[in-house]
Amino acid sequence: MVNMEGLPDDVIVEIFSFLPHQLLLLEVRTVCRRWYTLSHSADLWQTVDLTLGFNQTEKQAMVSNLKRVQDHVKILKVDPRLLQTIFKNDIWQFLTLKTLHLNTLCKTTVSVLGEPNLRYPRLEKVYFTSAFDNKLVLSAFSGLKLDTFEWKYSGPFQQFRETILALGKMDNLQKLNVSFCPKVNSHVLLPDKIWTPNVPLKLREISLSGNNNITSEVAFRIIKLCCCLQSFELASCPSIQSFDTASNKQGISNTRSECVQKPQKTDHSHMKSVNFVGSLNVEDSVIIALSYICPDLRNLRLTDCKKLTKNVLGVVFRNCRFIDSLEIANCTFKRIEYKDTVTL
Amino acid sequence: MYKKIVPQIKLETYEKEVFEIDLDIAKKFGKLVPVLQELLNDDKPLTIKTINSGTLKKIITWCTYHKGRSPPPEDDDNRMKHSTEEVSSWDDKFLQEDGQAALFDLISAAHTLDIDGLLDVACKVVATMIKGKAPEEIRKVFNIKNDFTQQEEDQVRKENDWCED
Repeated sequence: MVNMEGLPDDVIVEIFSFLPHQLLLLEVRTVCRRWYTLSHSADLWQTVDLTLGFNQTEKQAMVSNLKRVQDHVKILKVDPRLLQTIFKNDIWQFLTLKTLHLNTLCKTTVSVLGEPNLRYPRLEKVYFTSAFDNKLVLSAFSGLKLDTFEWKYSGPFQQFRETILALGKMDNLQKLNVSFCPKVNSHVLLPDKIWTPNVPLKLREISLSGNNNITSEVAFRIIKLCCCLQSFELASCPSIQSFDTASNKQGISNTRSECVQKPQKTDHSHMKSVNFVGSLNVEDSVIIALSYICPDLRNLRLTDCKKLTKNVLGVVFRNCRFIDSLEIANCTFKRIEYKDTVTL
Repeated sequence: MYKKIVPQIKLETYEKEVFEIDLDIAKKFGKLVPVLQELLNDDKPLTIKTINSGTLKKIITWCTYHKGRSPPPEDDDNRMKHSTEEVSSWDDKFLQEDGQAALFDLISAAHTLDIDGLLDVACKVVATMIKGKAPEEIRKVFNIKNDFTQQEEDQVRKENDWCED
């Protein structure tokens, strides 16, 4: 017969892993000595989320515990103001931290980032929202080997060019998300402006969804330059319209000629997934050009692209033989053009 | 006509009762599988003294019910375990019908036999039993002795207060 006390430590820790953190601190660890020790196991504190809706007591417990578990945390979600208050002027470090979510980073809290290679030496992924484009933010992170950078931005973009330039130092970056920055000038996002040409681009995923100024030319230049790109999100980009045939052909031949010059693979066979959902103005020429450049496409989402005609499907199926999923909900495949050809 | 021969393994429990288990059911026994496969052609059963017959019967029932259901893939990157999806009503009833002692026997056996899915769901059930209870109630329900001294207890309580000094 086994009872609770007869269970091995790792099983009890497993049970604790299904309990919310505030409960571990306020109730569970006060039960007995063994539970006290086990509820501080490193395994239980790898993800700490201080942005959940805690009451005052719970929050205090979580905050006072943060210093204790500082060396186990791998994923931290926190309001930067709180972080600033907790640590004040102490020299603090999160040696194991890999992912940092900072909501509402603002001018007064940007100091929490100070010398991030000292404070978060292992940081790989950073996500934050900010309403100001202080270049301090980016230059603060640029010394790190980040692979994911996600910045949700809601303010005006005067200094965006300078700040995005700081990204150029992150040559490990694999995932970039700069969605819904309505005022960003699309040219500053061009990778040849951000990264120096000899830096190998490891970017695998880019999301530029919801940016009004992204045009098809910009999109295609990004595809051309980022040779490892696997996923490209261009949802709700109304400025993507057509890709005129002259520059279209040129675009393709450019890619081909580069192919010959460079020893490494520059055709975009890595591209697996492209998302145009809600980009209302996408025309056939864009999709057709894409299907030529990215023959290995698996997943193409065209929901709500109402300007497309039937022709596009044939071309996509002919050029991209590995398509697994093609989303065409709400595509009306207008008959107007079809009619025209009939009358002609 | 011939009968399909299903490979079976033999396990002997604490009560020295021998169970024959189909190999495809025993495949749920994580790290034990290679050991069991080696014993496949052996007539001698594998003795596991820490498991009693009642518990092993339950384990076989569970493994049979969940045969063919593969565990959900684990998202390694973002393992937020704390908010877990619900235990299915079948599992919940199955685990709780014989009372607490049987549940702990089952957990201990699942741990020994390395049956991840069963251990997981049983731990969830125990976690639910802990939720919403004050420390004193938790001690009562699980029969745990409070071994803190008065001084330590005050200390622990103090740790939860964060002073902004």
